[in-house]
Amino acid sequence: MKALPDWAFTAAVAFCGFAFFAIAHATGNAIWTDVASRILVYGLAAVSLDILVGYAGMVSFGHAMFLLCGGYAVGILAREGLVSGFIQWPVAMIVSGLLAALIGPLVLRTGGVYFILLTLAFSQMLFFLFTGFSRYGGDEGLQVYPRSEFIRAVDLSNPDTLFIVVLLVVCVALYAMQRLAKSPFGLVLKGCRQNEKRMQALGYQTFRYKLLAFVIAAAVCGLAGAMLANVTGFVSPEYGSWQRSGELLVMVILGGMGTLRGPLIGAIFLLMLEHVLSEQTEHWPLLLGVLLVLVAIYLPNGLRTVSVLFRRQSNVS
Amino acid sequence: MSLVRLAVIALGTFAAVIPAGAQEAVKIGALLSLSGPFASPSKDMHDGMQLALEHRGSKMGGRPATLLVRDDQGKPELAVETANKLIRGDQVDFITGAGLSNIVMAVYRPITSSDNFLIGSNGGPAPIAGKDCSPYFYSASWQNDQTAEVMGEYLTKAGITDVSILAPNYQAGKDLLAGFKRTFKGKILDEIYTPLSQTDFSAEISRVKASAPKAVFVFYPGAWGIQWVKQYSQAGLDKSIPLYSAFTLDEVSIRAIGDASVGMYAAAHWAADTKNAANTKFVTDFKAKFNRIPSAYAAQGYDSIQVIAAAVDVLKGDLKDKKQTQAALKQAKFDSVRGAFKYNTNNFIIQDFYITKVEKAGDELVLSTVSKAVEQVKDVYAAECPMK
Amino acid sequence: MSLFLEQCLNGIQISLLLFLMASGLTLIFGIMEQINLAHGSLFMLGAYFSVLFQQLFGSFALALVLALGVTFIIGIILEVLVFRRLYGREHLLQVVATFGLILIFNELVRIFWGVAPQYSAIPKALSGAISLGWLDYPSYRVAVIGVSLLTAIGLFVLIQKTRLGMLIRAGADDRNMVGHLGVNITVLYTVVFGIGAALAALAGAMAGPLQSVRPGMGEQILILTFVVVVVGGLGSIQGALVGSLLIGMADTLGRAYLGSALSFILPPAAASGLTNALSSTFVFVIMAAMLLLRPRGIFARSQR
Repeated sequence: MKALPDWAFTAAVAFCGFAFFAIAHATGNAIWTDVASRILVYGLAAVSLDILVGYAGMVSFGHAMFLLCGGYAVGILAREGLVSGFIQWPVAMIVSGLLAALIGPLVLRTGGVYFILLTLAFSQMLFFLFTGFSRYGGDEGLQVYPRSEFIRAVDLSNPDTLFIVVLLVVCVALYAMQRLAKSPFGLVLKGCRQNEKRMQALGYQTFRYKLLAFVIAAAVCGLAGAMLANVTGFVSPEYGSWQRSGELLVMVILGGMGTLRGPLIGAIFLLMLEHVLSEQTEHWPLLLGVLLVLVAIYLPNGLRTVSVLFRRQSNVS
Repeated sequence: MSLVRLAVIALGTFAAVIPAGAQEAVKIGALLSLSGPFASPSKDMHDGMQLALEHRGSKMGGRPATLLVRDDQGKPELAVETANKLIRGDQVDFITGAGLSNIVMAVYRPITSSDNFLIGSNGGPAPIAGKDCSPYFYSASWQNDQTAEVMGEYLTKAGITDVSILAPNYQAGKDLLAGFKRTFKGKILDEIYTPLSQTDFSAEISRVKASAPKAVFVFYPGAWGIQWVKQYSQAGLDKSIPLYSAFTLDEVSIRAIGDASVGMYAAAHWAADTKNAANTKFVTDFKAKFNRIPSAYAAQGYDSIQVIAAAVDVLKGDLKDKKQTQAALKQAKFDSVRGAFKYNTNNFIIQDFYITKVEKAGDELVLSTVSKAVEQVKDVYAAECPMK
Repeated sequence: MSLFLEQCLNGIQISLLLFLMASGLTLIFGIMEQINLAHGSLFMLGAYFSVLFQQLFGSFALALVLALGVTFIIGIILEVLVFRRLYGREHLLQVVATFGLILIFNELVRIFWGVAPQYSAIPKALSGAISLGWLDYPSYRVAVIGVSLLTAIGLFVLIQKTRLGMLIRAGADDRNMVGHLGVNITVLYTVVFGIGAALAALAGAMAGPLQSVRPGMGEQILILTFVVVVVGGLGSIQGALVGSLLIGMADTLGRAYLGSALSFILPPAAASGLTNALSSTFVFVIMAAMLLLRPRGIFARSQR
């Protein structure tokens, strides 16, 4: 069985999104779109992290700092009276990218466990810095009011409109990143993950490639942050907490790293599970925790392993 | 006149109510920080709400009433999400609770700007009382500054010339210390705000000790307060520098602190020994049901439901017209546990405040009233509120 | 001056608690090359168990010892059930698995003890202040400093003077070699993990009365512990001690003095906010600088 081409997968995501939207409204569960918007945003953040973890082999334990960065870019601009989304969202991406360009050269000097801990350190710095800006809410966070404004017809304070916008943006970004991963650039990154020394011997300046990957992933995650600020109507330093960085890693692992599609599925799976379990029992984190331990021990390739198993079986039958 | 108007409204809508499924429940969302540092006060608020519902046989305006309890874990971003779910998912008629002031600030706009009602059970942040006031917000508690203002005045009268003041660094902390400074005429030696995540106060206590003020005033609610008072007395400071507070000593926290709290003063709008029939019934029944003395938080929870119930009764259960509901809430007439109950223009309550003191009654520690500090006061922000 | 000394004592007390956490984490890291995010959960369990045993037996000291023992056993069970299967695997998987363990422990605590904070009582004898000659200091904090110091000394003796300690040192230097020399490496790992768990529990049980005992209480100190371990050098006990003192003092003194300095130029609320932000950030700046300038930490062990 051959995997879907990129355009087809993206189209499938868009189709499922619209179908979901229609079903939610037809069954009188419009509230579902709130959850779905959030899932899509986290999905995009996880996909951007996968560029680092799955392709370049850079395990960032601070990726949520770019959610924070993008979210606050929107929040702060809105607070200062600049409400146009045409400015806010690109600024969110640029600021996140710049931040990554700033710390990238530092974190890339290390590898392995030191990379993990250094990215954690930088995300914590940002986290604590934002708790200190009392003008922008400090510890307490900042209301995003009003939401980003685009053209008159697109009112993001309407959850349905917001969902459609998020869905379209996520699809475009997803397609772009899949293309990027298949480009020569993406292939060099994959090479770095497998054997960086060899790539260097082949004459590739791997440092530059990895830095660019870090910046791109950050910018995309910043875009996710900008959308998250609009989905929740609120930003707080909590956006960049290490727990949230951990959750993003979990999404990547669950979906299967190095696939880009996997992390999107992983995010959908994780947040849906959270949503469904939390309705059943208040102690759902217990079940989630057990799942994570089991996945880490037995299914290091994520749920993809499960789907491969099914695929083999279906081929046999 | 307003009563006449309400009666007309009620009569006018009476016919419309009956066919519109009068038996459908009035849904009240209770947004509470049941986990985290504010868990114990939130639990008391919750139990107060439950008792109020029970006292009315879970009925309001002829309709059954239900409480949908949600935990926001004391996190503003989670509270926003939960509030949105209550509004869009559960389609509640009222939201109450929202204990911590930063939670109130976070959910205030999402709730009120979508024309939903928020009945605040605790925190009363300054902006909401002032320029950002809304006809969709009604307090069942107080405005943050007020209690501290009472304490500031009390210390000034007691002839205390210099103090150190401390609070957690969030909306309510800033409000309370602002309130204290407004009425305290002496000198402020230190004004310290600690991070919300901090419960070990060793560095701050050392600082206070070094400046040697005549008194210390703090605002540390819930778990923060228990740690503050304990560590303050462990450092031996309770004997040399008297500790005054607001929302730090309550019926739950003094039990956790123990004898160290005996003799400490606090300011409050309510005490378990406040004398009126409604309060006696409330305290007696609360004790019987939950086997403990209610705190001011429980009293506020109780009144939150009473405000809603009084309005729903007047409207005979018909909540479709938001303007009429606003009017009914504003005029809410019921027997409050604090005695007289009347809304100011900004929908905060005009009420009395007391000085209380921790005393030992047999084996139990209780907060008892020392004196009435001020009578029927309004908060200072009401003037900034455009509502009339 | 006496304020400065008192702030130093505050810093030392926090540093030593950090050391108890860091010594276990650094051993687990140095010997098993294992990232353990769940180390903070063991801190939390220590605090909860000490509250539980206090309620059962009424003695603080006994509760402390029992909490240590129980957490030691839990540590061993964890090692056998989970960690053993993660040695030598990608760090990413270790992060995910131990992240899962955090969720599990926080939730178990919620199930057994509820969501509201618990309060660990201090024994009557330690509830006041004690005179140290030039200043009065809370006697409980003095006791915490004393117990931590004794534990630290005991740990150094264990590592420098005993056969187990020799194996631990050897393991941190070159674990394959230790295995080849015929040492039962499996048991060594299990024991080291148990010791780490017990040390974390001791820190948690002693911190209990100073913080409120609540779900997730170990997560704040966990991150600081990681900073300490990195600054001191992965696998080095001496490094953990020096790192703890550096980080603990920087954090406490930063908070204490930056605040006074900033309050001259900013309104109090803004000054306090910025103080906390900067002193917290400063700790991570130290860590980042250390990783960049001396990537293996102050007390780097020789690398293979």
